[in-house]
Amino acid sequence: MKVMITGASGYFGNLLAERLRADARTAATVVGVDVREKVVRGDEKDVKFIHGDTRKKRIEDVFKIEGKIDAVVHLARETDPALTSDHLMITNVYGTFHMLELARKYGVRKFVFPSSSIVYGAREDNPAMIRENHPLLGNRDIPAIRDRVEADLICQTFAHSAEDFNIVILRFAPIWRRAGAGILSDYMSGDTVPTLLGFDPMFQIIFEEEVIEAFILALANARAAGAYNVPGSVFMPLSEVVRRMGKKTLPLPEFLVHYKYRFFWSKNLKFDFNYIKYPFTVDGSRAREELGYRPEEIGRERQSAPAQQRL
Amino acid sequence: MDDHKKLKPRHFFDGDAKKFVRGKVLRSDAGAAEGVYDPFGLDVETIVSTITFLLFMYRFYFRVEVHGIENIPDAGPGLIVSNHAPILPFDACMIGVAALVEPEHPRFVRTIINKTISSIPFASTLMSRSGQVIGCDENVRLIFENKNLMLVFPTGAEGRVHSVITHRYRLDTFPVGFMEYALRYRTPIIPACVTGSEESAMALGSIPLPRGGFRHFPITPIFPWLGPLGLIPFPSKFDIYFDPPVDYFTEHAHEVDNPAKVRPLVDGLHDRIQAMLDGALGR
Repeated sequence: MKVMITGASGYFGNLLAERLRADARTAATVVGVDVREKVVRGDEKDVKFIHGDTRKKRIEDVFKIEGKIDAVVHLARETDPALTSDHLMITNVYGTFHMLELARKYGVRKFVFPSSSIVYGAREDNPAMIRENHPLLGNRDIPAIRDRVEADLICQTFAHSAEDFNIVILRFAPIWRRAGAGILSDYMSGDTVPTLLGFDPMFQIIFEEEVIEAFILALANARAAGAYNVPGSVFMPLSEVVRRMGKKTLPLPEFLVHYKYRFFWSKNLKFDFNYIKYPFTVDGSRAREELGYRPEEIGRERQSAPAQQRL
Repeated sequence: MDDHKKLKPRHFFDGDAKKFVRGKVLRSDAGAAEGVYDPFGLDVETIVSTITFLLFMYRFYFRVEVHGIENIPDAGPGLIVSNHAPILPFDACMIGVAALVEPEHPRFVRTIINKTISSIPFASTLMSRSGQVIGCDENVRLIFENKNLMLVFPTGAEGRVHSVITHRYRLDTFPVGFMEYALRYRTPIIPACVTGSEESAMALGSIPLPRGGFRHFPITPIFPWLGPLGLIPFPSKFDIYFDPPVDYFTEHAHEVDNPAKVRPLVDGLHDRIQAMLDGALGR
């Protein structure tokens, strides 16, 4: 199986390239594409790396040179809030559209797109377990969330556009990463984590091993297609998540945390406060039944890891 | 101890009542286990503490009398439909406690709450931890798939504002939504009514609010004049009546998508619960 990974220099790009080659279920030849320089990690030196930009027409050459590519994993994305909203939109939304078009044109059988459970939006009338057919009501005012919703919708519109072209959308719960920045890691970076006074929604967290496992299952399973919610093994109230990480919550009244009043913690909170006010927990039964995704079994090897990593 | 009637007030202070409630909760169909949260956020510790307090109210404050507890099924899904009094939902709490402590097989009742509660600080957390549920299709499906009991107040938020004390125990028109769920998920309906609840918080009127789900601000003889203390209910005596489960779905399940066919069923149930109320009040 030949897999093209866009955004291969990123955190998950690196991790995935290594695991897709090593795992017997995929045993993939990996072609990594990124605008940044290649970041070598561990022993994955024989991953083929191509310098390319998903937004540019030139990226088509990769498909021409590499010949038959079986699957595309589209990880290329920008989330830096310092960039303009327009720039983010071109990368995240147009970039996805462009790669989908090329994948269809060159007969790629599978397109895996990582989305997030935040696309459903955190709203007061959310069901306790959101299923895949729930409307995507994420907050469009925040560019990072808007782009995820739009890219997710674009993937859905491509779903039945060609014979034997399967698009897998993996809607991950908030991802806890060992290193590097992410929305969740940023939010919980300090020793005290601001929360909203009187609100303690149920919260899901997925670990990186579980994320990688979901990608492998999506690639290895020939019939996988459509959107899948991918919750992790952690399902507990937000305050307990924070407590188990050995941190303290700082419950603040809502009017203080309102965007007009956020002073010193604004760097830690790049998202809508509704995400720490209302639950946006997802039902992973479709991934469980169709992909065989079992987060609780993957988590076992983590039991001996340091407290902060295993919650 | 397996009978709540043996509990004395002192048991509520030395931990025996809590032990009794914990046993009932763990034996019930709440699906609760220590340290594990259910999809709705139910937490055993919270419900044990909450229900212990409510059981005290049940026994010694509202002195609840239950009629027809044998109509609560031992197992399987069920939809309890009842009248609702304004201000704080003590009628819902008392039905929940009754279904937990009175029958031989304790049942855990999931009440459908207004979605506005989820945006109220502390109330939202309490409701989530005690396993209460916001009414929407996915949640209802989950409850009935788990074969739980569900409690709805069809007159709900809108009905409550009209139920001022001069209009007490008069049901407004029911919406059809709950009957559609009962038909779709093939669930029997248990008609119920609560008396005494309206006297515990005598709503004299309400002031319309500009926005939000609770569109009216209630006025009682003591609220808002005494501040939060004004929310303390009067110790009126509660009577809870359960009727035998009614099976609507075998005959009418195919009519679920036809509101014109569902409406007469709902009106029939409305009249039945109104008759139960009138009978219970002797009017």
